[in-house]
Amino acid sequence: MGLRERIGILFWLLIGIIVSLASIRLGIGRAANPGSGFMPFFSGLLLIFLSLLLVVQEIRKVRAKPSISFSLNINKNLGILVCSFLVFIFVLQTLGYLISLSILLFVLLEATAPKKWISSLLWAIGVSICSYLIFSILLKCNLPRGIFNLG
Amino acid sequence: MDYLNSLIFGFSVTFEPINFLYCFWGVFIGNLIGVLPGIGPVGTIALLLPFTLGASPVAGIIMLSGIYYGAMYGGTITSILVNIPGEAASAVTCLDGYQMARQGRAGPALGIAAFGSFIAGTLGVIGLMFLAKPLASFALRFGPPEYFALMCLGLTMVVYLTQGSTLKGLITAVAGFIVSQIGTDIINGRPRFIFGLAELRDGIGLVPAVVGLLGLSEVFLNIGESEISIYKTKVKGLLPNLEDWSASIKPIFRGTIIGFLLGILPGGGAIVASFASYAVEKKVSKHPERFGHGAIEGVAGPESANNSATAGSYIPLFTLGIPSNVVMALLLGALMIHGVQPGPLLMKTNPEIFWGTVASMYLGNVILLVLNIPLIGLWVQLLKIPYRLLFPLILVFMLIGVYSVNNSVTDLYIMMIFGIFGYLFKKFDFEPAPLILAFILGPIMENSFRQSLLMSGGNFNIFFMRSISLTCFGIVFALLMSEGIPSLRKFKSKIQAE
Repeated sequence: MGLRERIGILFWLLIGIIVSLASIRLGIGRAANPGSGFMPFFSGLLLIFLSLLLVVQEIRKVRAKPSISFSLNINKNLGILVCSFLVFIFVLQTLGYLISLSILLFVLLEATAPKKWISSLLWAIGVSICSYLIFSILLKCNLPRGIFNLG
Repeated sequence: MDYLNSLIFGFSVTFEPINFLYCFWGVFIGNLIGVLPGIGPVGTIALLLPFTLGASPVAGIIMLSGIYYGAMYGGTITSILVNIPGEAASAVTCLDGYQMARQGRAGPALGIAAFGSFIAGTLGVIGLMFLAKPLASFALRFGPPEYFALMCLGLTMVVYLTQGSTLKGLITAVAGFIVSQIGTDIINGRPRFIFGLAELRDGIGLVPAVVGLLGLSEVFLNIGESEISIYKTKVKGLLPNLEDWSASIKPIFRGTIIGFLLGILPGGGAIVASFASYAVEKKVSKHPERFGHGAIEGVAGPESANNSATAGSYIPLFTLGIPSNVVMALLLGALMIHGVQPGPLLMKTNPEIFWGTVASMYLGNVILLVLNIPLIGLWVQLLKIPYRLLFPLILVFMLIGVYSVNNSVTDLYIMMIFGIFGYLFKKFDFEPAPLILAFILGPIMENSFRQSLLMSGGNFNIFFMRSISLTCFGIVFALLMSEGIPSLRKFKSKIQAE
């Protein structure tokens, strides 16, 4: 069984166990009067059962065809995208929509397709302002204005 | 006469200026998205779902429907000109459409696809109109056990037809069901799995979950990918000649029927329909060796099939309240957010939604035909937009869309988490579609299941004593058992590989 399959199975097995245990605390009840934990408990058990079936399936597959080595092959830009996105959400209320989005887009453009920094900056600010005009002014979406009361 | 009056009523709803505008924008955006590879109709509907929440339910559903069948039209253009399907249902069109383009016949290929789609789309809507009413009357006999069984069947069919392992599909479906149980228990009001977060009391929002899982994960996957190149050909002579028409007319009608019937079936839909139609056309052709080398029948049939399947897939949603695929599940979610419960009574309680949507589909098909023929040059130019410039725009749409539903930063975090999961699902070969379907159906399934048990005093036999639920569970059992039969498993893998 390859590393990828092992990680996948372990993950679902763990989720199944956690959900089943948490459901017992919620109260399973009886079939005639199911409690809040009734459906989650059996869903958790089903998840455990299916994960175990996947173990059997993968072992059979390995016997038939030896496992191929696995690499997640995560794009380097993905880390930057996820981190900058998290920072964006964190500062959105404080800095406001316009400033936060301009920074996010600038960082992403520079990281994923480095061109002249000034063109990335202009594209980032342009997209932010245009989207603000369309969504906030025209469509009346309530976007955060931040401490600078901008956008 | 009754149908005619209802249809006239539907047109009066559709031609209200705001609904007309939503219809136009829906088909236009759908067409545009269909053209751009990398963002399918499911992702687009998820992305634009929040923007329809401010409108009336009928305007919202008209727009989302427009996106769906608009994307079916648009997806063809990239299949023919670039050999990259704009969306999965147009994948089979690449086989002959791209070869036609290489032979300098891109124009007739695009033309017959547009006309075929128009004919099939319109006939599909007629079928929807006439079939929905009797089916809705039949569905009135359904009680909670039948609904639970039918939803299990729909979910199993989607899992079964999902690309890759059925077992992995079942796992993601169960995971979706578990996610749907986060929030307050609908029967006794007790909070479940909310980890002390007040924002989770109402459960995980449909919009952040779906946008994250289907939209954001696509951005994660595509970021840094190489740009596509367009096959340099002049698109001329879009109107097919008489020879093209005589070769295509039968495939168009066959595709319409195949697509419509497969669209109704749970788990079916445009993708299966287009592949089935291609297989049938190749089978009935006197010259099957031409297929794959630029046979116009290989474009006309599948393109008609995927459009009529779109109309067919509305039948289970509108008459039973059960979505047959992920797009329909999103439409169900949108209706539920608006407080509308689709099902056998929809035509009586909300006739404007049913007939308004039906009429908007006639109108949308005309708009698409008018848009597609003269605007093909513009769509081709759009293909040249580099992804590095496109993805910031997609991100902005997602951010504003998710944030503006509740003005909540928590929703953005939820979208982020689901985006990462969506990305990992694809990396680990787990399909997200069953998760979405189970997530949306989860609360209805739990309700039906618990109601059934209350009705029977805790006796599980209630699911096997009624003919409809017994039949549904019989099919579920047969489908799952067929996975254990090597020859059937090989047959399924062969279909998926093709």
